[in-house]
Amino acid sequence: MRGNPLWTAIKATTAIVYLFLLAPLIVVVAVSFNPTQFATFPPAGFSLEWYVEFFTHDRMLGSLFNSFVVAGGSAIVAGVVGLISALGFVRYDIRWKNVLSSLLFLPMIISPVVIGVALTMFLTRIGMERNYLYLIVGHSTLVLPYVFVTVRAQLYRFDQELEEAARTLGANELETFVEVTLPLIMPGLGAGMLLAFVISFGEFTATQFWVQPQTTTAPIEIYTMVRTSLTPMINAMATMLIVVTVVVPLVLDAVLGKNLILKSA
Amino acid sequence: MSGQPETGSGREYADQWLAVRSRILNAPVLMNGVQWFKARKRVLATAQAGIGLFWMVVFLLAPLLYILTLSFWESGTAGTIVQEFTLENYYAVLVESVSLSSFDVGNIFLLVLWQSLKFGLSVTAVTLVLGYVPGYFLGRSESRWLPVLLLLVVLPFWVPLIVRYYAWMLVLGENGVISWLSELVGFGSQSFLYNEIAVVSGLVQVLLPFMILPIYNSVAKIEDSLIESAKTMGANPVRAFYEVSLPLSLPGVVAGCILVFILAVGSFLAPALLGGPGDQMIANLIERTFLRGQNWPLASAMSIVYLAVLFVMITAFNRFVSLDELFGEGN
Repeated sequence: MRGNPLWTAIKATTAIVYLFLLAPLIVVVAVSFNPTQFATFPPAGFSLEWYVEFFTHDRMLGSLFNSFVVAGGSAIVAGVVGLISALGFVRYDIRWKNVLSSLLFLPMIISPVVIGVALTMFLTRIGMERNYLYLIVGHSTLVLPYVFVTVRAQLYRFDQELEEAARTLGANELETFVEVTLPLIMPGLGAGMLLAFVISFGEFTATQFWVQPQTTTAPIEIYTMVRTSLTPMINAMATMLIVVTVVVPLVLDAVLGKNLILKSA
Repeated sequence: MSGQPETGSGREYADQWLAVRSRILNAPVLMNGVQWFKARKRVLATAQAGIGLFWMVVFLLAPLLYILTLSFWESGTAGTIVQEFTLENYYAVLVESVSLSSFDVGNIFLLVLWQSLKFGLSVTAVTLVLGYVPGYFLGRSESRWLPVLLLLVVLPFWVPLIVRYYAWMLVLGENGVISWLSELVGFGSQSFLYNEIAVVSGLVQVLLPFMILPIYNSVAKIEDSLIESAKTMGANPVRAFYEVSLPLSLPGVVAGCILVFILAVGSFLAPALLGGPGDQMIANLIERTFLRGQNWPLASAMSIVYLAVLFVMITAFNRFVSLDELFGEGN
């Protein structure tokens, strides 16, 4: 089949869809180096002035910092909770397993607007203060399914006899977990936490209900800028977010050599 | 075993106690090592799974139950909530607008819901058309670049949605790429933003990976020998595809369509950034009612109706594919 005209047509169509998928991101990066006041295509020249403006803009930098705090915190919380519950679900045939694990997938299907609104009303009711913790609680709920799924997938591939061997050879439960289990499921946990970080980092829809001026995250700042003042600094900031969410994981992936990104898919 | 006899003499009572006592005393002896290990494992596993479930109960189910309650309460002036039972919110959402504080959005709810479902269907259809061929290609490709090609489908998913929709604005906008192309071919520069097509195309652009990846998964599982034998039996490539590959790729198609549809219907950013005033979807209406209208009970009623619709759709989809398969294995 390969090499015939039909396969060529399939290849060409695929190339066009890839262009459709990726070109907009390339456009953002290209336009961010544009010196003119309005984001025009094709770019009129090359300049770093919007990056200079971005890196001297306290509010933008602050929001980027907030995003790192919230995404880091959520990845850790979701990582711990997701790992523990995945262990429980895989190790033993719990009753109503399917229904119960569906509960852990719910945040993936319900529109983040509903989760955002409902959690806001609930946390207001119980009187929680709107600080970083508030955001981390909300984001952890949104990203927990991703950690759960990736860790669970890794556990299914995991040979439980290895643990039994460790136990037989005299390791206690903690030693077995730290020295046998954890290293073996690390790729799944790493992929899940990375994904949790990235999704939390870019979350906008639910977050808009949860932020305070002091805890505003980067996506919220971009949205405000897009809606109010279309300054070219948006392009620089958008490019920075692409760098954080794509380049950093890719570098991590290459350094650790674990194919974390593909595992998360 | 802990139940006490409702009626009965002291003798019955004593018998029962003896039974319980002997069970307690004998249990560790009767259980051999394996049984004990299994029982311990069950308790441990249940506790472990319970931690994730507890999280979801506290931070997802409890809030949802709370808004269910709220949706039956009255809204007072200036965004306050009056704890009086009322069906007013549901009446406003489902039938027609009644005067609800300062913000009147009730009676357009069904219209907006219908529009969201329509957008969802268009997006699903276009995504399927655009996503099938790449999914098929990736599934059948033997290229050594395959990991890179897959990575390129996954990566956009990592970029914040706001950046991706903003990028799409740069493509469709006044000084954007399409406008530039349109000028090149002599149609003059113009904006293609703030309409239905902008919303649908933006959603398609963002949701395509959710269609391509499940189709890739299904197609990659098809064994070469099946297609080869179809050809040996005299089928031409088109016929072989129609008879073998297409039916076997359907699970991926179904999973992809369900994912894309659900995610498209719940979208907030695409209509907010790319659509005009008439292209708002259900999420935008809930946001507006909650933030700008400050009407929490009404926003709750809307959320509950949306969840009910979602639940009905998922139950219907569940006949084709379970949630666990959708998000667990296939993903």
